[in-house]
Amino acid sequence: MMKISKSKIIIGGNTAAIRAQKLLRQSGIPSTTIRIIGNGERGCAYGIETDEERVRDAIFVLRRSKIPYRFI
Amino acid sequence: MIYLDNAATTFPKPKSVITEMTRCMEEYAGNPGRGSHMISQMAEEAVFKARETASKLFNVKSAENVIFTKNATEALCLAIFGTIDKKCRVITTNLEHNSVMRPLHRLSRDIGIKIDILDATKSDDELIFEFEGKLKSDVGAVICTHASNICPRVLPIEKIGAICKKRGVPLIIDAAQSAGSYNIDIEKCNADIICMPGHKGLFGPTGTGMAIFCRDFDFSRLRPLICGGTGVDSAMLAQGHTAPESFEAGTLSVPAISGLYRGMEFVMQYGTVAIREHEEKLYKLAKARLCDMGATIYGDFSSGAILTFSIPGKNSSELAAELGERGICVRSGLHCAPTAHKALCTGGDAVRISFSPMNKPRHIDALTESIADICGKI
Repeated sequence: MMKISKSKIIIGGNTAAIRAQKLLRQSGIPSTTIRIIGNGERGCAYGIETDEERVRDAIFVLRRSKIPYRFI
Repeated sequence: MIYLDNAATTFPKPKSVITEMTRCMEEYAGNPGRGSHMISQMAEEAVFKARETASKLFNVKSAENVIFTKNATEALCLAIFGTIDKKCRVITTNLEHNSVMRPLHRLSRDIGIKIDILDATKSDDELIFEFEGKLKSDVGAVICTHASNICPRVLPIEKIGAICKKRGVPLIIDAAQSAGSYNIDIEKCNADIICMPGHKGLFGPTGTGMAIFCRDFDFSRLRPLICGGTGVDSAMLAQGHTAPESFEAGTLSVPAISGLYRGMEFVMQYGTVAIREHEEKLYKLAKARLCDMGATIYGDFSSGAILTFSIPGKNSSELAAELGERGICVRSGLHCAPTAHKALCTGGDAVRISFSPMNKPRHIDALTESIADICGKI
């Protein structure tokens, strides 16, 4: 079975990450909220993980909803 | 026991609140935003659900604009100390609680703000006229109550908000006595921040409150009230401005917030209009009975349901204590609102009764019969 590659998107706070995940679900994009340890010099953050092939769609939803994001 | 002190905190709470808090303690009372394991995530989901419900109830843009606090006082301190950092003029009213007056007094002492206190016992038109006259370029904020905690006075916050917006002045509203019994739409009010307890009209447990922020609020200019761990940007020494986490340092009380979620759900099911109508009906009944007994009622206004009175010749605190001995819970004293008591000429002590949907007309019967008995007015 082929393994689907996943992409992680950093959102920041866990509240915004949960909201992002719910908005993606409403748009039919499967994702999970994740805790990102390390996060460069900043320390812990929350984000979402989604299929690599759906990242473009996910970004569209985040932008439309004005949820700030960045990639790992 | 008859409980008529709902302006202090509502009691009893809906059964759903108690059940959810118990379920939380048994099943998901983890530390939200602090881990990736199942219990932490369940706690996070529960807190998020509460934020989402609050955002629907008050027409807030998103869950991030809802910041949990311990009570309305903490929410007001976050709003006041978090946004006013330089000498300016602040407009408020004479019906404010000490949770507004004391932070303003401190800012007056520490950074020299000037406080203009408007007379909110005047009519809506007169009050609006006064606001218009006072809102000059040196005004840094307007902070006012939505509903008084000692008399049935509800301020025209939408009109006040419209003037503030026109003049570009931030508006902070204290909704301690109105959240849950009035439809409050942050956008319609043109308010920047609305502060409220979770344990009064929203039927959550004590230890809950919220500061909710308008759509375009710039959180980068809000100073956190307390600093510490947030689960976000942990490598940074600076507290940050990630809403809501940066402004909720320390572990949230998940059981309390879960209870608040069910309390808000109760309000939405019952309906704010039905709650208000029920309370106003009880207010009118109690007022008529007390007037028949020769009581002095403080504040003759046409809306609201908080009744403060005294019986001529009877010390109010003694009356409240004697009612307490008979199992009737009311509150006497200054109700943490000395300027409001002064404005209403209570003499500094009066008995307050306040209602919730849990009260029935028979509670008013028992109250007035007891007062008549205590005061020898049968």
